[in-house]
Amino acid sequence: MDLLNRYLNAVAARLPEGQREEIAAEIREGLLSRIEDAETRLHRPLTEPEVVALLKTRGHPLVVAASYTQQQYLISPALLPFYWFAMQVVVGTDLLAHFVYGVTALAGGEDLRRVLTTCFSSLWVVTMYLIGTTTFSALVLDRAGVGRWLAGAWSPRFLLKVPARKPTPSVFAVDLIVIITLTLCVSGTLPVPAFLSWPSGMQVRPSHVWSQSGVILVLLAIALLVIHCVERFLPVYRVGVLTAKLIHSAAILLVIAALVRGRPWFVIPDASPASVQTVVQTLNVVIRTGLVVGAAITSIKLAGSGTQLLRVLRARSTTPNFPRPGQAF
Amino acid sequence: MTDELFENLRLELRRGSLILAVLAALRDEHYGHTLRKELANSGLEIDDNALYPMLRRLESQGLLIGTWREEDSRRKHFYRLSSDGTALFARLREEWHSLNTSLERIVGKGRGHGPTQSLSQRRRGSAA
Repeated sequence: MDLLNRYLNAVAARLPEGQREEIAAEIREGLLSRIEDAETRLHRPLTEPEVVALLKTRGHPLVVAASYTQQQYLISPALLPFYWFAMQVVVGTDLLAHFVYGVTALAGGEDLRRVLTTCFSSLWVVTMYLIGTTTFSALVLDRAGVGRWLAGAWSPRFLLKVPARKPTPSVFAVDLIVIITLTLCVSGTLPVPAFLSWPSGMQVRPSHVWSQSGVILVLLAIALLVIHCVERFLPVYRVGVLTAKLIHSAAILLVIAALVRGRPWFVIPDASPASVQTVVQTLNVVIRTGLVVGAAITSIKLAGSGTQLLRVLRARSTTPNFPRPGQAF
Repeated sequence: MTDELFENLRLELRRGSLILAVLAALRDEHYGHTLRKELANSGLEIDDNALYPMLRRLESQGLLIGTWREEDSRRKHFYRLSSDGTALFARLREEWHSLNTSLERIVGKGRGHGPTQSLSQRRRGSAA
């Protein structure tokens, strides 16, 4: 009897309050009936190992109690893909940021061991913090009803006929890194170029062309993040996304053109030593190369978006059932 | 893997029928243990962790009437069909008959090959 009571107590502890006593009494009655049946069959009382075996066939107290409760989720199925995606972006951004920091620190002449120690200790703490915060945020959103809302707010009209390639979490991680880095540079928090050690007292400042273009670049980086969000979560707005990408690439090319025309890129005092002048010249070459490469990549993207847009528009005109946002069947 | 898959599919196949069997058995009053035994005697073994929560669910849905009564100096929870339960059971039985007829028609089509023949045996048979 002691074993039976212990078993029932363990089950009852996990049962929903309000029904606890009644359910436990019913389970108790079922178990006593089974013991009684077995004893009648064997013509003797059950031994302790036999009672243990019988209770084990009834199931673990947690399993028994769980069969009386509704299935519970930490994060509901409708919110789970968004949570998982957010987690990948957040952790990806974290990893990328640490990688960029490590490379920058090494380029600035920091000791390898020190950089690795700093990176790994920081990476562990920050990653755990981000995972915890993301999970907690998803939990709060779910409890606030966002999961239920998402499960009801979808429409078949937003589903694509043919699955399209969507931006991966790494794309969003890069977007975030670019936005954070550009914002830090534009606000002056991250001096340009931060990793170079200048002679003491020497001031090399980025010219006004960076402050003018920097704000536009931050806005364009945010715009790209928004475009990627729409591309990922509302893929049916394909024409809008491709048009936005086309405009975005054109805007980037204009900013690059403005940067090329806006030289000099650095302001250095007249009395600068030759070594500083050499470094600035090298930087100019690096920036010029970067701008040329950037312009080439952006042009390819522009051409790609244009081609895709034409293809989608042609498919729309020839396919009567091509999905359109808000289209009724 | 195949056994596990079979077991999962078998449970899935049985799950829907169990409610019908329980409702049918509860046209006469039973408590959990005797109900389980009656179903087992008819060839339908049901796990306690499935049966007891199901009884409570059906009771909360108004399909069963549950009463606590003393029998053999022990308090037992007896269940029987309510009037709603009886009406619903009649509809479910009709549905089951119709489903059974359709399934018999669909599944019975392949009967000529024999249920124990493997796919390769059937292929060899049709090739010959």
